[in-house]
Amino acid sequence: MSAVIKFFSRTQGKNKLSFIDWIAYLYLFLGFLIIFLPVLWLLLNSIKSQFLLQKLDTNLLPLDYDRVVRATVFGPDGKEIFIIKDLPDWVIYWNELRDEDKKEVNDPNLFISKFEGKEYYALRTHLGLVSDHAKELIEEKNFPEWLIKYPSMFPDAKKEYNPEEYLINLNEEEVRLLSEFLGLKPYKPNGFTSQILISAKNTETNEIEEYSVSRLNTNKDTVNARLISNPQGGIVKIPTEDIIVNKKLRPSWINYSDPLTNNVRGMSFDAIKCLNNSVFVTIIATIITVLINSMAAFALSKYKFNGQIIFFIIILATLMVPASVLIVGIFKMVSVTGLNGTLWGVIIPGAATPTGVFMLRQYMLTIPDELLEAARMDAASEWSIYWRIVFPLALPAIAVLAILSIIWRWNDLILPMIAVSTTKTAYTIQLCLLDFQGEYVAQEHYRLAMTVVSLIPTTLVFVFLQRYITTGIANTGIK
Amino acid sequence: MSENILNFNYWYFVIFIYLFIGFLLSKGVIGNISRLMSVIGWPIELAQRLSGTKSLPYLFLFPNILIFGLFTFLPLFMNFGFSVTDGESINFSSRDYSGSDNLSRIILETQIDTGIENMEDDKFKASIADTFIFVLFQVPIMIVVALITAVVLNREIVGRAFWRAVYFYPVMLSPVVVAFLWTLILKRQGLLSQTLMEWNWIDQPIQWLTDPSWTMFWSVFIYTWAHLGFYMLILLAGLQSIPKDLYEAAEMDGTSDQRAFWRITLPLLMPILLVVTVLSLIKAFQAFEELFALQVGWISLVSYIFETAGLRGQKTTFGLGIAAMASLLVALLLILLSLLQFYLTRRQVKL
Amino acid sequence: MATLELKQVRKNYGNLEVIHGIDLFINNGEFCVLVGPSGCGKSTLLRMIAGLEQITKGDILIDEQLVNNISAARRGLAMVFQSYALYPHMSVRQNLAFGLENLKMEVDEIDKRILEAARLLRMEEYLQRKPGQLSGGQKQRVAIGRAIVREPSIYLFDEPLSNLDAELRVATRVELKALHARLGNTMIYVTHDQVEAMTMADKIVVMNDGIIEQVGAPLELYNKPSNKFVAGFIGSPKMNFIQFDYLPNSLKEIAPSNSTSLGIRPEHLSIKDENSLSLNVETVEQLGSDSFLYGTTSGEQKISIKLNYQTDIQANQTIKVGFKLDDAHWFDKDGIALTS
Repeated sequence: MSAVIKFFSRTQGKNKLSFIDWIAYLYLFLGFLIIFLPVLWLLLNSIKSQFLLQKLDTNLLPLDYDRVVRATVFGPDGKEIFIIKDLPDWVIYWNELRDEDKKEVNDPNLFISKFEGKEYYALRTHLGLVSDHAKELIEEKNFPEWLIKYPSMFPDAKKEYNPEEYLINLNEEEVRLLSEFLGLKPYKPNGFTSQILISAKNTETNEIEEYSVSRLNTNKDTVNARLISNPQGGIVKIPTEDIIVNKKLRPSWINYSDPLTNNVRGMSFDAIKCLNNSVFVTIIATIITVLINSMAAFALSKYKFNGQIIFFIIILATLMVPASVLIVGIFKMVSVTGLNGTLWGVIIPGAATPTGVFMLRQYMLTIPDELLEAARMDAASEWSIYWRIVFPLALPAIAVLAILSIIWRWNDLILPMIAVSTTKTAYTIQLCLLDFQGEYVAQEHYRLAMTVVSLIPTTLVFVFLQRYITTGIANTGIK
Repeated sequence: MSENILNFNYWYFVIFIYLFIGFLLSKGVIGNISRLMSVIGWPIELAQRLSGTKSLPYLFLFPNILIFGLFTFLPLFMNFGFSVTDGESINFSSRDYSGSDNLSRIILETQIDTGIENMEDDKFKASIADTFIFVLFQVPIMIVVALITAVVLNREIVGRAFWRAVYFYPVMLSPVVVAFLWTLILKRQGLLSQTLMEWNWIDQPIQWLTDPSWTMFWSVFIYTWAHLGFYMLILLAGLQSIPKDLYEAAEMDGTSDQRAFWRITLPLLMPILLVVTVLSLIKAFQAFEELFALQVGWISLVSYIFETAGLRGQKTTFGLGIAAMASLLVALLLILLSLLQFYLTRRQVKL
Repeated sequence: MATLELKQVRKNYGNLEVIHGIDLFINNGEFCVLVGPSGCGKSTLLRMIAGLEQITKGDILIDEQLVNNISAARRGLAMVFQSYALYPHMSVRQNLAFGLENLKMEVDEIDKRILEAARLLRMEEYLQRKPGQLSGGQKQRVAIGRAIVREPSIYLFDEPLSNLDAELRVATRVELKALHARLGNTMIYVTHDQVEAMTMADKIVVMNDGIIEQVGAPLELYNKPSNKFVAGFIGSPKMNFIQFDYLPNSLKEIAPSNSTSLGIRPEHLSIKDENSLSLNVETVEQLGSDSFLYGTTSGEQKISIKLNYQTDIQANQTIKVGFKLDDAHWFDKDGIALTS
């Protein structure tokens, strides 16, 4: 206990590192870890591929596994499970593509023409070509129109039709196609999932063979794996310590480049728009804040007038009722002034800050009045005294306010939620990220990357202008 | 929106006219920046030319006060308005006066509209209780950790600026980022669960953020993590303002280090410590953004207001009124705390 | 070139009147010094002339024009401030140009005036520097230069030399005087230092507690102070005052009736028996050229003496000091000077 208290004490002899110093450094280092490990974890996760994130990978670095696809095909012979190797990413992630993007990427018909048999069937289902091909077949054979609608009919309605009779005159391929389309037994929609490729010793043959694994959990003693050369053989348990995982350091830069080049597949997430909105709000709001706050501070510090103290108290009083408890009223006022749904609804309500006025006023009090009098003798108007004398001389404080304003605005969530939450085109980056979290669970890789991008401006400000922020906060005691 | 006479397009027009008049009046001003500033400040220059300096301070204050009026004071009155009316609409013309019904809805046991058991009051009271528990743990922990950190950083330490920057960095992160950062670690299959399972400390992954026995712990932890640097900085500034010769004198007197801490550091730091405590109380009662983005397993007061108001879609008949009434209660609490803070900082303000 | 007239000018701060009805006329081209102890209202008066302070009552006329309600900017005056009030963020040239730009003057004309002023005040080399990079004397020049470029009708100086060291102050005093001779403008100069007043003024206005005690040429004030305050304020070291009751009978007899005290300047006292007082010397200061003796006479009346030679008088010695009757000043109970 006494050591702990001693550790609070301030001055220290000039002798070499004492016990207390060691504790101090240990404390600081622990704090460093607690603060930076989460940030580091975010940074490293943001360059992991979608696949790795879904597999809940716990490596620090983006070590990606070799991947294979496990396909399940249903047919007259029952269920058949097999592995397809070396498929391109766009095929693996086909289901997550947006419709318009699907047309832009490689031609699926061309792609599957390189395959045949069960691999062809699996890919045909996966790439959504079954219905297209089936419709072509129905037209070609002049089958009735209701066949096209049959798969989407209610079960009661389906009873009135008998699609089986049309299968009779078709060849085997055509039967499979039409049956898959119509959902007739023994055919079912084929399955398709992405898995990890590992190598391990086959306990029967004692040879190293390749296996596919749906999840690697190194906590468990065994891994459920499927032999690639004999996928039908079912799941075998392989001791975790025996497996060899092929990993390569493969940072997934597309996490960044896709959203930033507006090439995001499968969703309406416009990162560029969000970033632009945030930049616009931050810059314009900071300019307005600096301008009107310094004007108010100038009036409060350099004039004597009736009601001066009352105005000052009014401004300070706004500290008491932050936006977060006035949500309903602010929403109403933003609507009344017609600012809702526009970025101005984010900019204007937060432009007058009590902190800024207070901080600038305290600083301007230190500017000698004689300078203003000299300017008055020099025939300067009061407006030009403000912007040519007082504003430049208050620059140190104004810089602090500007930096704080940049941080406030970039990080702000409440005002955007009040003013633009129903207008997607006016979302700021924070709102976009928050929205994204709810909507696209499967696209976490993009979200993490964009979170990191959203960190960049404030981090740059922090690295280069930290001195101003810390003095500003230490002097005013208001965030 | 189009029928609203205060449509923003109309504002563009007003601003254009304003700048255009300024442009005309600033003819003959030399220099681009001078001209620009004249265009912006023409009403002040004109007022001075026409009626002297008497009205100028008010004009300088005008933009700021206008925004405060529109977006701080009027909303407060609007909240009053909403809190005594019912309806889904934000237009008062289509809201019905309901007196203290909304207050009843959030504090009475029975639903006044239907007579059945009231659920809203449970939600509200739970949010009050949870928020108080949160504040009760968060504030003392924050103050103690911030004080320890400030004291450590005030020692003669190698790379003090670096360490200070490290501890301050989370303050720069947005609530959304803080939330994502920790969600990544604390979600069901996140880093923490997986690591603990690897060490065989737990058998099942835990939803740290929503698990009832953990959600408050992590809320306090993350909130403290995010805001510690700010309070640490204020306390550090306070420590550095304590004259060094006091410690030297104490050393000459043979005062032990811990005695110096209790008898010199703490008493001299007490005013700032008080301010920091009240400030963190105010902030903790408003805690919302991080908790909202973290989707923690409890509802803070401000989250309650936000969710009840239904501004993001799902509107309910009484939502706006109930939210407004709840905000008024929170505002009252915050005003009391702020008055306490003004009282404590009155010397610093120099009215 | 202008005259200045003040008529019953008063100034109140709330209920407190600090300037009690000042009447003053300053002639065209005159160098007028307002002098008085700090807090006497001389700076306030100057600022009211400048237009920086509102006047509560009375009239201010410049060139017979009433300027009460004309703003500082339009009175056509220029002021040199005690702290110089140079704009720290502007270069010297910009400092000089600022006022001219505000008057919307042509760029060529501005350049011409700045060059002239720079040549006059020998500050061409540092036109591009900022005030922070200048010495005290250079700042002083810039402040004066800023007034000169405006070509004002009246120059106002508010204790401009008080921030300079002693040596520079003497040199600048001489230069200012020369500048006045060259420009020939009306100048109003505020100081608390009577030496500055005596050396520079055409006309000295002695102020105390918001009223004018006496107006006159420097020597007039020295030789014929109209009251005890002026007598004590002008001249260094201060005039000795001895209460009538403690004077030797020989002096009481020759005093004018109603006099309550005698004033005699230290430099007018000498070691002799005629019209003499006996003095108990307490301290002796030898400056080489001059000697100062400090002591008390009967009734603990403090006396100082200035001798313009070296003396062998020692402390604790009792000596006789006397003076010429012409040098004696007599004052009544209200401090008003009496003619003997």
